[in-house]
Amino acid sequence: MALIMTEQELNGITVVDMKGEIVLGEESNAFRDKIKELLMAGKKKIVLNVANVNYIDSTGVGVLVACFNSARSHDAALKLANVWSRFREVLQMTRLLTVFDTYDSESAAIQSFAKSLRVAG
Amino acid sequence: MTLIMVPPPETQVEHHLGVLARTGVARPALEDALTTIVDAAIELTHAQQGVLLLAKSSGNLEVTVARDAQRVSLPLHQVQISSGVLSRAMGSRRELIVTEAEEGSSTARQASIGAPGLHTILVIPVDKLPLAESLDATVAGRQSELLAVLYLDSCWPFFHLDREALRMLARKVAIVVENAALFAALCEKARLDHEVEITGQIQRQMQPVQFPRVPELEITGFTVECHAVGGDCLDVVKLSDRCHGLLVGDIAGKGIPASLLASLLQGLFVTIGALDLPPEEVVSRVNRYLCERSPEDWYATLFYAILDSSGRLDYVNAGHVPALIRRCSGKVESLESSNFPVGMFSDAQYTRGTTQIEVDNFLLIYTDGIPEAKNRRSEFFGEAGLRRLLQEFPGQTVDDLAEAVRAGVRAFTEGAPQSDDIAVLAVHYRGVGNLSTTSVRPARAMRASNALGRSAPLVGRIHPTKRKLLKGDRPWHS
Repeated sequence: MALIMTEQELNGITVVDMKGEIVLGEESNAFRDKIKELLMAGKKKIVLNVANVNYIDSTGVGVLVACFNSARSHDAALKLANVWSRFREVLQMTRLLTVFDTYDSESAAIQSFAKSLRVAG
Repeated sequence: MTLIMVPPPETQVEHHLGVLARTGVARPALEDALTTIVDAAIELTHAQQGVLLLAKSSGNLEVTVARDAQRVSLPLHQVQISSGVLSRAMGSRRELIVTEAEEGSSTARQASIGAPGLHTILVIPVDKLPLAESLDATVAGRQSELLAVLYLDSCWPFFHLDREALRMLARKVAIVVENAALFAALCEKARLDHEVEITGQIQRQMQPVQFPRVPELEITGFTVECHAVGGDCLDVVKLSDRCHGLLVGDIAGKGIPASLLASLLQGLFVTIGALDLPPEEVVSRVNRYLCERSPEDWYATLFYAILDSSGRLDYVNAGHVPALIRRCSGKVESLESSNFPVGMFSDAQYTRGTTQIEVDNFLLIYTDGIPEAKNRRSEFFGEAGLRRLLQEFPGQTVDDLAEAVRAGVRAFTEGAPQSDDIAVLAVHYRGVGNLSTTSVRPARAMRASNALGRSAPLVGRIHPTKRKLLKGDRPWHS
């Protein structure tokens, strides 16, 4: 399988580092299963670091949207960090930039959760 | 007691291997091969009856072949196996010989094959062979996958039985079992490939073979497919005496699922488009239907437009690559995406854009197989390449334009293999009353052959595609 995912917990935020490809087949299935597993475990704050994702196809985008919808139904937040240029172009063309929260770095994505708490408070 | 002289093990094994090899060539079916295996084991061990059990994915063992010493098949449902002896052999994963003297009266006298007097049982587990001999050392303690079990019965003890010969036989039969399974998998793949081909033929036959022919419009298109079936679609529908609906769609994914959804998408637009609705309402209804009926992570990008005979173009770009208009000045304008793809969000709102197409302008709607075509230096053709081609286009008809696009991409990719399907719809607006100054020629059918040499039927076809969003794909070849 050409996708490797490692997760870590940082102050109640789950950061999933993704490396490889998100494409039709094992990879997209594994990606979907990973998010499902996190949501079922009650994780509410998830950051996907896609800096090392070198390829995503249309199926991968579809799974990403499905994961976003699942997170929403679980009252969880899914954020993208290190979205690089070509990926960003696709998100823009499909208007998904208005749906996903994207950040230039993992730390910025993590900090955004803290800001959300302060605003809510 | 008669002493049975057993030939040297290598002679026995090679003899039976020869039998297996000859039989395998003549009778490749798995069941036939397994029957030969059992017969060979019976002959090697001088057993009276032999059973082959295959390991299933569930972990259970299933009786597959049962033979007697006369090479007659026994009814499988009547075969009785000593579960105790079998379990012992499975536990040790080594061949096991159970005689009446060792076991006493209980286990050995379970009459494993049901015939009276049988009291010697030989069980040979057949394990999957490691990929390399070194794996035996590197994965010490890890059991190989169990493929099958040979279960042999005799009414006399297995005297002078060479265990090394038996292990060699098990090793050889593992190769046969695995090869037979591989062959069965190949046959199944060939069957599925054939079904895919049939599906592709049906899909192509469902498409229109001609575009509408009206004085003010000249329309043509082409597709170049990667596979037998897929998920690009295009169509042109006459909505009224004044209006035509134009559709180019790109379904996420590939293969049969994408092709099914492409057919559905095309049918929806033809049906809903005929309801005299504005394009944003058509797309919105299609989106709601698809969100209700399609798989969770499925979606499609598309460009849908209604072109009026006056040249007014009302369009909805739903996450699709921008359509391009080439003006008479040579300037190229793009009709960008401002909406979500369809099938993603059921509550998505769609907005339309409007532009005026002037006499002798060309409209080009396409799928991302064009801009994402890649050459041998891993450079993309890109939207920039397409815009340049349009700017420099010297032709006068849609046929000229379509051919220019095909030739341009082909030249750019330098013969590199095609990585994605391509769909192109080209429109030349000639104006009401035929104000066009270009020569009028009917839009002729265009043939495009793909990398596999198959001639692709033209406009209105559905083709397989996998929408590539990022770099790293196989280039285009026509």
